[in-house]
Amino acid sequence: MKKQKHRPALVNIWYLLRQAVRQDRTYPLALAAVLAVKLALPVIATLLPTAAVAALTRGGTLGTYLAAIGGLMVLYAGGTFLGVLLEEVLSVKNSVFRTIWGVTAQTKKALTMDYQLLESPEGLQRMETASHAVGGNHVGVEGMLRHLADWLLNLLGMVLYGGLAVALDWRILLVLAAMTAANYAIALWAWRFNMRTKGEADKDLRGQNYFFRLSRNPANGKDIRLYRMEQWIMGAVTACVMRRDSWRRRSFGRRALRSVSDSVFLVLRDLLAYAMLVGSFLAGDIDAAGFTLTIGVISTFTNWLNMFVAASDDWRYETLEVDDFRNFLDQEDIFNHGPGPDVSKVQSPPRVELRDVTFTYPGGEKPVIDHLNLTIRPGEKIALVGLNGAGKTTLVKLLSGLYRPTGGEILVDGVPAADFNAAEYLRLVGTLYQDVKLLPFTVGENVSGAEDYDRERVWACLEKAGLREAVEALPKGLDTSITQRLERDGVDLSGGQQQRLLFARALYKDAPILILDEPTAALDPLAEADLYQKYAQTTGDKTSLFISHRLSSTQFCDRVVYLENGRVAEEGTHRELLERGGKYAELFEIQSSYYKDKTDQEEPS
Amino acid sequence: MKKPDRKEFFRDFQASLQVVSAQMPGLLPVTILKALLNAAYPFVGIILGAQILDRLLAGGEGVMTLVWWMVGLNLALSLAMRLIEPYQENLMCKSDNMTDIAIVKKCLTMDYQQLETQEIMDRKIRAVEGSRISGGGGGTLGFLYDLADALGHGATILYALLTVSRLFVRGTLAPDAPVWVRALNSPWAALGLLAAALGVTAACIPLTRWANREEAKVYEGSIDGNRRFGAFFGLLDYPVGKDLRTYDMSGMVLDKFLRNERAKNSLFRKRYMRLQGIRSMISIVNLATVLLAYAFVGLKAMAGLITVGAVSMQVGAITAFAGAVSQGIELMGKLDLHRKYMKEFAAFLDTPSEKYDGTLPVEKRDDGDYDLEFRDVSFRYPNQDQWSLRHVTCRLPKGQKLAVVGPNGAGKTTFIKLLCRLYDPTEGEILLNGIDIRKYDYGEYLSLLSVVFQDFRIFSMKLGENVAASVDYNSQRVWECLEKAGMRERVERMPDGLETGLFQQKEDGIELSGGEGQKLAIARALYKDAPVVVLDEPTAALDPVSEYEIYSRFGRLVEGKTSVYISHRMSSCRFCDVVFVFDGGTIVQQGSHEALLDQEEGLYAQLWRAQAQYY
Repeated sequence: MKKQKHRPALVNIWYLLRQAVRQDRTYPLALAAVLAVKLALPVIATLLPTAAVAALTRGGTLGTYLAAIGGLMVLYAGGTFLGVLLEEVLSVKNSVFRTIWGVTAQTKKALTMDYQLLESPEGLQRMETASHAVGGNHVGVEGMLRHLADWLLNLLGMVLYGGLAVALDWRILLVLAAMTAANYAIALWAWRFNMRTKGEADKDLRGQNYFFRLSRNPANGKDIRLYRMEQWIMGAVTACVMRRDSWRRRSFGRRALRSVSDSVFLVLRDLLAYAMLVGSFLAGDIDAAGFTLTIGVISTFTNWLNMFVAASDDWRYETLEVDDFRNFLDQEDIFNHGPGPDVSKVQSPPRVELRDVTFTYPGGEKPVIDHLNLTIRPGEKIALVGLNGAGKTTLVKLLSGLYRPTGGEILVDGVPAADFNAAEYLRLVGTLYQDVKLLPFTVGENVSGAEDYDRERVWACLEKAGLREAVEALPKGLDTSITQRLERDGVDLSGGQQQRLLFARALYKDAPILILDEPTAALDPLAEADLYQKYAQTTGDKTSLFISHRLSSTQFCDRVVYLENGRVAEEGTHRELLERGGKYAELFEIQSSYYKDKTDQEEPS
Repeated sequence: MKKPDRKEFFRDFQASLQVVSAQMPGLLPVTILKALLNAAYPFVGIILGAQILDRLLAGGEGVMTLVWWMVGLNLALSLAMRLIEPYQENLMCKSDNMTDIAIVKKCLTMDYQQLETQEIMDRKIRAVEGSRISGGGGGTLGFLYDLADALGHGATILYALLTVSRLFVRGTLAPDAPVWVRALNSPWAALGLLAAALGVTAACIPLTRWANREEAKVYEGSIDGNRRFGAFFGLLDYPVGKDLRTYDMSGMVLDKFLRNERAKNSLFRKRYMRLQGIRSMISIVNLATVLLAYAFVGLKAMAGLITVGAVSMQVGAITAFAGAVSQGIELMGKLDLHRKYMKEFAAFLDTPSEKYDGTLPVEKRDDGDYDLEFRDVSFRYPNQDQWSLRHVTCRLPKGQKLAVVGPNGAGKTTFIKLLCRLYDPTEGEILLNGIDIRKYDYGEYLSLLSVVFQDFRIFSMKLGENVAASVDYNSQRVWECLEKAGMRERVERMPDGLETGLFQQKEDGIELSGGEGQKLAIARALYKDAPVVVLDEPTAALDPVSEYEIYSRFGRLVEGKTSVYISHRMSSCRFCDVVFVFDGGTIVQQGSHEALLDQEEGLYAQLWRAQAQYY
């Protein structure tokens, strides 16, 4: 496992800023405008009372007094209006950046990266942390960019006002510097505590969220009620919440300490500032207006300082999440995503050869596919059988082009599968996976995999899959959405209908190699028999692989391959294997025993 | 706001406060205290700073005493605030957690039927997630934070008015003072200023209403946008990735996602900018108050009625006042939204059980003599026109094995759901020992049933706990049940045995295959040891050998119990005593396997032949 890469916060913010500018050329303009206005507003706010005091003590007339105040007020009002609008423009830009750049980049990566990496525990972990980094307005990617304006603004403000304060009296700088240092040190201390303990707290948060989702999912509701699980689950939720509460108390306590130190330094600052200014005033060095101005400058500086430390502190958390995000995007693929041999040159149907293929899952002790050799002749129909855990589903993923063997190679028409461009190889195989996953899009889109599709062909495929009538009965036919997840007027299909839809999808793809992984598990006996018959008709001359625990299916295939511990243990036609009386015959015997007449069969004990 | 709305607002608001007080009794007083302290803090500077300025202008006598006072008060106030803050935040988070826990508990215990009812669950989503956007906390927490802020603004307004009240004090006039000075000195002039300030605030009211309407639109829009976003994000779940790659659908997903986001963003941008525009107009209108105040106190100072220090004090107080008013107005809109969501939340928690819950205890018997009977039962799912079950009359064979078969959609699983009282029959009744099952205490009735549903669920907790469905379990019995379900060996090889965590959601646990999960679900049913056992498609994911083991053990597993076995594998009927054949929501055939097979034209024979022909 590669170590997680960490970059300095400034490197990450520079990266985000570059991406933001690439997305939206006006981003720096908006940022600069916000900074200019937000820097000017406190200056006006400081000048207002100073101007009032100046006019009153320096013997101004009512006219000059009102002109000075009125002018500043108009400026202030205009600045406020502009500031709010500009800030919102920037805020919306930040949100848009998160979804249009961040979430899109993540989605794109998740959709195109090697499936094998995505599915690995490490990949899943990366995916989860990356999701979190673009999961909200105030975390990770967007949070960091949002804080850029704060950070720059307060940095500029600190420099400006610090300079002013120093010009007025350098001793004040000492207090302010001590204040900054203490503030920073305590923030760092609180951060370290957080980093040390965050793992456990995150785990509890994950647990809390898990139970929250779990409780409201109707699919869980039946078991929860039947087994009276509420106390068990409530106990577990409460435990997570209590642990997080105690962690948070400690974390809050540390944050409070920073505020306490602030309070103490503020007193020191005020004492010193007032003592110095009173002295200067009495000595005649400054007048009342100068006095008011300096007090204003010093207290505003403290404001800049606190906000600056807060923004830097937020960055410290956010930059870690941005690291997570970048590490997710930077994952290197192992498949060939560059040019490869021409897929269209592959014959239809092709010959598929597995040569000494081995596959071990990352972190797995022993290979799931173990030096497997198998040649599938062009147009041959193979039935793949074996016990749970024999490696059938892994073999499906290898042949489908989702996994790459850790040893040996797969040849398609003599060309190593690894040489093909990964996406192009995928075009060669149509697979019905065991776990049915339909998209919340329309029926037509689910069958064709595209928004623009040949409606006639979709109907034809639905017909072949035995789903035409059911789709015709739907309110919007092919344009009916599946599930209400995306469209309110979507419909739910039964398990059997979903299975048929997947079959139609595979037919629409019309790939030269067809793989069916347990397509009949959810079907009733009549639908199952129907599928067997259709299978033979519709697969035509394709090279195909059929996997099922219902051994009746093997009779439609040219050859049965019996898999055991990741190797081919037996192969031959159904009849040959029965005659051989090996493991396959035994398995078939077990299943068929129930279907034979009672007279010639013993009841299992 | 119309009149009845206002009444409703206060009533709901009070109800929300009661929810909060009930959850965390100390929270409301602490929040009020902190708001008072928080708002007082700037006034120390405003008032004493002015005194200092006056004292300086008067020659500086005793000015440092004032400085010490100011600094001391500031320290005391800020320390008090800092110490209350973590305490308050902690209470707030606790209160928020209690909201979460209350929702979890409600979901776990409400009628199953309600859990599947979209309107009820929508209410919950709106209650919890409705306001959890734009960075604001949702539910109770958001309400509390905004409430605390609103109280703070209220306190600021109060302090400002107290400070401003000094303007009502008449100054000493020179006998030859001009008329305008005399007029300025009158309390009526100060009242006029206040009236003008209130007038400005009143002018904000239509703007505020407009802003509230816009804000509600932004929130509502975000809820739907977030729901759709969630649906797209769900497509990144890795098992979907196989299909997306194989059928080259990534491009379509990405296109649709981007289109969805762009549409959402442009709508959001338009509405949000409008909302912010209105809000900044409100704060600008409020600046008019500040300008008026500057003019008024400036004039007074020039007339020599008040000191320069008093000018800075009054101006400071009125600036604080205007800020508090404009921010307070903004918060009223938010509080109104929170109120609506809190109301939904309360309504969700108060959703009454629609199910009649009887009180009869279930007779405890060792002989398993529980007689279950369906009498003319019909059932329609809520909001459906079609009957899922129609006129079903049958008696579960006591102490025997029953197989239930039939095509997809024939009503087999619905039959079981009614038996478990997850739903009540639309017509007819189900009887236990001659008495309608609705009359029994629901918990007691459920204790009679061990069910392995087709879509059984194993949770991300310890394996042993999953089998016992409880934190406390009898290890020996768990091992026995695992053994019977054919899972013992596998569990023995696991790193922590029964203590092994499952899945990744909560535990850093191990993954189970479909077959292993099924065996674990069977072990759980055995652990419950109820007199009636129901297995819905328990072998669908199992290979022939595991299937054989379950079949051959089945008799022993359910010995002496009434058992129901639903399966598409017709072979399972062979070892059952009675078979019910469902079709179109009714029982079309019943009898022993042999008897049914003899009816050659019957559905059962058809189903059987469809599978048996291949063996």
